[in-house]
Amino acid sequence: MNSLTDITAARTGAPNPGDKRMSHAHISLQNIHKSYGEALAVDRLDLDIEEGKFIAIMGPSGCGKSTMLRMLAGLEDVTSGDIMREGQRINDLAIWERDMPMVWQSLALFPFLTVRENVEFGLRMKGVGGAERRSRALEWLGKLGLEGYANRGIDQLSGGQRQRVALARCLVTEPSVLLLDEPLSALDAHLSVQMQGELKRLQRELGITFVYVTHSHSEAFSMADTVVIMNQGRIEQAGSPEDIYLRPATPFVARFLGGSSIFDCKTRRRKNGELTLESTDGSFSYTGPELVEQDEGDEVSLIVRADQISIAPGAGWAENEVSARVVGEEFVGALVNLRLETAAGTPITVQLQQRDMQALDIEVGASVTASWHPEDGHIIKT
Amino acid sequence: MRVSPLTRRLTVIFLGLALTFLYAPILTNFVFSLNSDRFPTIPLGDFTLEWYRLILADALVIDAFANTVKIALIVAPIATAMGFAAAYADYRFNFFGKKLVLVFALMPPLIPLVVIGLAMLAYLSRIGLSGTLPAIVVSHIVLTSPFAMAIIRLRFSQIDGDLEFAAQNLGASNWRAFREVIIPSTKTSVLAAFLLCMAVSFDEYAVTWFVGGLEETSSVRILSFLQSAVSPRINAIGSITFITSITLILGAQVLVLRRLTRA
Amino acid sequence: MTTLISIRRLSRLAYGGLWSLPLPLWLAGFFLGPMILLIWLSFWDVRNFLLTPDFQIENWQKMLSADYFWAAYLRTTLIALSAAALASLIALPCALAISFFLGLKARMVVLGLFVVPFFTSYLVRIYSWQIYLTENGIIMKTLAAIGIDSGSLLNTPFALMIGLVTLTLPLVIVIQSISMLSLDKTLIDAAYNLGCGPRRVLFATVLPAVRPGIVLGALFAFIFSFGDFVTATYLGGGKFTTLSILIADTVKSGQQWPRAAVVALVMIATLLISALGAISYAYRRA
Repeated sequence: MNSLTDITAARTGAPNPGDKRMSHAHISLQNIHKSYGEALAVDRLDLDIEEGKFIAIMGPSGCGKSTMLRMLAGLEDVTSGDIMREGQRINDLAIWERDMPMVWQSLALFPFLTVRENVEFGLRMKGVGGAERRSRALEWLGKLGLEGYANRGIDQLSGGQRQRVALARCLVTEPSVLLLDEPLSALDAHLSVQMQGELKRLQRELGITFVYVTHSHSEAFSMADTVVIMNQGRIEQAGSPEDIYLRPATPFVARFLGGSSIFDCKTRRRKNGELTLESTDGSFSYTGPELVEQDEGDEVSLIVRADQISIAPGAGWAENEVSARVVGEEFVGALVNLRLETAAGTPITVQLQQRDMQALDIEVGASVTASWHPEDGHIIKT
Repeated sequence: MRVSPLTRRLTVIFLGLALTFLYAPILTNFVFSLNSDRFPTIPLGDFTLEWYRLILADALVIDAFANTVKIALIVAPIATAMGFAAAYADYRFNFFGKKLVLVFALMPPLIPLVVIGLAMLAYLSRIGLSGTLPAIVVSHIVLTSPFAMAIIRLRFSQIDGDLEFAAQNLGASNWRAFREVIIPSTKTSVLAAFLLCMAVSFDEYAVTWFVGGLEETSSVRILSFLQSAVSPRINAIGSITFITSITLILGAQVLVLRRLTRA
Repeated sequence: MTTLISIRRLSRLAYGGLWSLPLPLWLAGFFLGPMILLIWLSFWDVRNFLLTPDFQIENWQKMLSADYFWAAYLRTTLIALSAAALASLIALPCALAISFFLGLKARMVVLGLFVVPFFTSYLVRIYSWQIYLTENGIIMKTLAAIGIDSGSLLNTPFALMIGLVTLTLPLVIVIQSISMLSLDKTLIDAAYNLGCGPRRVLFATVLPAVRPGIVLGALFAFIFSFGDFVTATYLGGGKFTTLSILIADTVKSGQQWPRAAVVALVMIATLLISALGAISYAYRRA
């Protein structure tokens, strides 16, 4: 069981909204508002980005993540609010004055220029002389494993190589911030994983701030120091990947990350370090760390991760049990994700080893009992 | 489509006949422009350059040709520039009523030439321009710029919309990004549009005839010849006209198609 | 701060305006302007052979009650409809051949060959057709040689159609081909898969799917035939007075511009209505 001190430590590690304006943020978005006519794209958003950190912004499409990145780059105007960079307000700087190179989803490489000319472009705009331009471009092409491709046309490169050219084109100007807009979405899975490792390595070595927009969980959680989850123009949660995984702040985050079962409950009694929760699926007991924060009668969501739930063919001995019907199964390597549904219609996700699944001899349509330990699970006030 | 080889062959033959139907008049024209008989008929008479000699000695024809070239050389750059501006604006900016403006800009070639001719004549004579070369230039720009806009817009539709912003993102100002990205991306289609505008201006006869008054272009000269009588001189002028416009159009096509097949 | 914003906005507006405005302004001045004047002109008066700005509906009354106007209107519409139908029918096999039976390269070349005539002097080609169709023309001589004596073909509806098909066929073929080429080829495969024969594939799958192209092609053929005035003059021999000829004659031979304006406006109205009708039919859900 987690001790209370552990929890406090984890809490202080998470960004505290009250402190935002005090911190030495590299980039700070303050009360940003963006609307297109009637439609609201970003709604009173505050976010601090620390220097040298890898921050990933994710959320469903239309959540405002791309708009946010485009406002940083100056491609979109801010309706109200301030964008600060090292204490300076940069709202009014034109795109070309911001010095925040971007890796575009489309890559946006110049098809009429060679690889080297593409990489040199930013230096040329800055007025760097021909000889220096060339040597710096070649140096970066070398660093990214593209030596020998300098004089090729863009259309002679593979997808992965283009990706690297796009990176080199941005990094050659030695920026302190790099913006990335779903840069890996065009690559196949294998190449994408390889590039993730490389991006993380580059970011760590160069020590520059990466602002990375993606819809992919694996990209965000494998690379970022801080993950920001957005929904409908607002930040639902910002924190370390572990923090978000273990302690989703809202039911939306839990649902968005998937792999959890969510029960809407009302807290009933608290005694002897045990909380009773009433839901349409029956009553559950909870002895986990968030116990202390709950009052009687609160509306809460109880979130139980798929790997914390076990199933048995019939009713058993456990304290938290729900009978459910198997509605689907999907095999992921040696694991099986089982989708269940309770009589009240609540979906439950269970993760099993494949051999356990075989031992249980369960198929779609079977009735089972799902159970979990009272100290597992995570409570969110709703 | 899977059809019998016979059907396939017959359809392709029919296609060949349609091409023959369209090109026969053009070919005949060349043949008879070099034929000595006054009345074009078969069997052919002797080979002669007499008709070409006659038109080159005809001051009206020479003046008309000079006018045609002058007008086309003024019309094509202006119409291309305006067509380009409109195509670029459509590609780059969003503004209220954009669709309406585009439809409006594509309208002129669809209005009957006689109607435009009448409207232009009435309008230009009210502002004291009718019967002058500028009157012809003004109306030709109206008639040709939609073609320029269409052909350049086609090119813009193939360009990654982020490209110009990518240049700005790397430090290029509006104008610098325009020079570095838009010009290299569109220059061939601009040239193609230029050639097409010249060709359209070159062949326009109806509106020119209405607003030009006594000023004639070669197309209007052909119209006058047609009105008077059958004369092999038309074949000679016609051949020159054909060669010019076919060269211009083929040039424009090669430029556009090279892009399309490379993309 | 606010001045900085306004300067930036201003320069951005200026950049946008510089590109957005020239063509619309030019067209407003020299296309929309003339068109509006045309409407006004139709209410003017002609006194002592002089055009006088006025607001009277006499021109409209005169023209719309004149039998010769309605005869010309009917004739023009009939000619344009026939030409559109004829050109569409001839174009259909051609477009099918281009889209389905030719290789990529041949397709490009042939489409290119169909674009060229659209932009080459129609007047000269009409003159060539005169040579073909006249009494001593090539066709007559050939026919006479094999014993058929048919008189002159010039100044007949046949000659008229030859001319208008020459004018409109290239455009119709190109439009039909584009719509066939953008057809989803899996649709055809699916139809074969379901056991349709070639004929059923053509009539039940291809033609309905390319209806917009066929309708638009016919619409363009109609528009150009409706407005053309040289074909009827030089291949029809003046026997077929169309609305365009009415306008050309009125303008070139006198000062009755207001009446010509009435004819012009009726033409534009007809074309607008046909265009709207055709487009809504073309894109109506099957």
